[in-house]
Amino acid sequence: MYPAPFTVHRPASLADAVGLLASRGDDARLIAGGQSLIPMMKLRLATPAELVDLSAISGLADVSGRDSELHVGAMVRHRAFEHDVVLDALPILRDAVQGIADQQIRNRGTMAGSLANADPGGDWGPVLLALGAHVDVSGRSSSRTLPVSELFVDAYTTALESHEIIHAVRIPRPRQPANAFVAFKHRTGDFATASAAVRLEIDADGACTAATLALGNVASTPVLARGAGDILVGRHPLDRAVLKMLREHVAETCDPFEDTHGSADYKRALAATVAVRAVEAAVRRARGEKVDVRLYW
Amino acid sequence: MSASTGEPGAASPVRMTVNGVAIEREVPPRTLLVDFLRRDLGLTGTHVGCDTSVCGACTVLVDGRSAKACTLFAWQAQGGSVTTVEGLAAADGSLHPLQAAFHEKHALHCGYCTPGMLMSAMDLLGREPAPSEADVRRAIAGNVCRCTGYQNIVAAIMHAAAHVAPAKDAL
Repeated sequence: MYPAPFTVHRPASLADAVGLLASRGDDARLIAGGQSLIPMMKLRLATPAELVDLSAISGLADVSGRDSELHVGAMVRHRAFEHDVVLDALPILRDAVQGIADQQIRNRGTMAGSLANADPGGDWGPVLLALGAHVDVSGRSSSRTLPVSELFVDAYTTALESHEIIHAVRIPRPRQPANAFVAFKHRTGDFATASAAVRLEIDADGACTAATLALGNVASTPVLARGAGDILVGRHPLDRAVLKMLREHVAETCDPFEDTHGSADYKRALAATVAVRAVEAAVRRARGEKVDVRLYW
Repeated sequence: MSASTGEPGAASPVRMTVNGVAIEREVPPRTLLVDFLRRDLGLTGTHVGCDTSVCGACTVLVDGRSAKACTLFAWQAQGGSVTTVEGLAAADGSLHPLQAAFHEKHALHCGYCTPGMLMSAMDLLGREPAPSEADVRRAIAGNVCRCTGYQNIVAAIMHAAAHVAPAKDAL
């Protein structure tokens, strides 16, 4: 299968890339790894007359600034998160990358491109929501920083203007490794039927002092379970009554579509379960345990 | 590669190293890497299976890392190095240890998935010289085989890893 004919531009700078998008308007699409865009183009679901390629711009492929904030350039491939020992504070990133597609796609696809694509089933969305991450965006007349919580508007739709480019993702480094992502996938590498990303802070007595929980593929965008903080903070997270309330809140927060993977009620129940698994994993990590979330697969 | 002047999609030069040989061709930007390799370079060892980025029969190495050649444009390998299954055997035709292991362990029936399996295995052995069976199965999770049931493919890759030098110095 072949895409419709197009012209490709390989600008050497972000400013040039923005200029190309601004001048070409809706006829132009950005390409980073292309692992979502190219399949769409081959099926002619996307027919851009112009592609603006980011891979020739230097400085976008770096992961840096690891002390207080991880700075992830737009061309950083998924595989960067598979082995980096610096990510001991962020085991959630390794949890997520292990389930993304396959090695070939992880070698080419990018975190920023995945966010910009805004597939409801993408794994990075709930993870970065739970971590309180931001995206640095370059546009025609200015740059801005957007919290990931404001990035996703609808399925495949972000808050970016057509001339704007995510040039970096910024992830605050948590003080504790009490974070985890658990996805239920029908087959390894599929989009999740439901997923949950959680970041906790636990005090010396085992009580939760902070909590953020986000859910994936159970709505048209990744969603924050906004009541998770009220339910978990001040309590022991693995207390049965607490987890029951958490399950109910997660099930209410979901707005899933029925499809071949299950009914809406099935997905609500599944989301509640993966949320509990993610909380369990995060608590165990707070205690210093090494947890492999693939045991939950 | 600068934007083409003239009609959208007009051919322009693409340069890369393929199996150690510098090549240059003029192709339209929409040319997929798999078709560039097969049609423009005559390297038909890389196969088109599903053409929808699932089966991995098209897997090659780009700059030493596995990639699905049906899901890349040829220009995305501009200035880089591509390794196909044809690049595994030595100049005198003797099999790469990984190929020998596939032979030894009967890791192919029809052979259609095999080039892709070999290249995914090369990616694995290039970064993990002592993989576990779980590592091997994850490494080929993007490669579908309809014939073998995978068991002998996994055994062949484990055998190659245990009995040969790390693959990364072989190319």
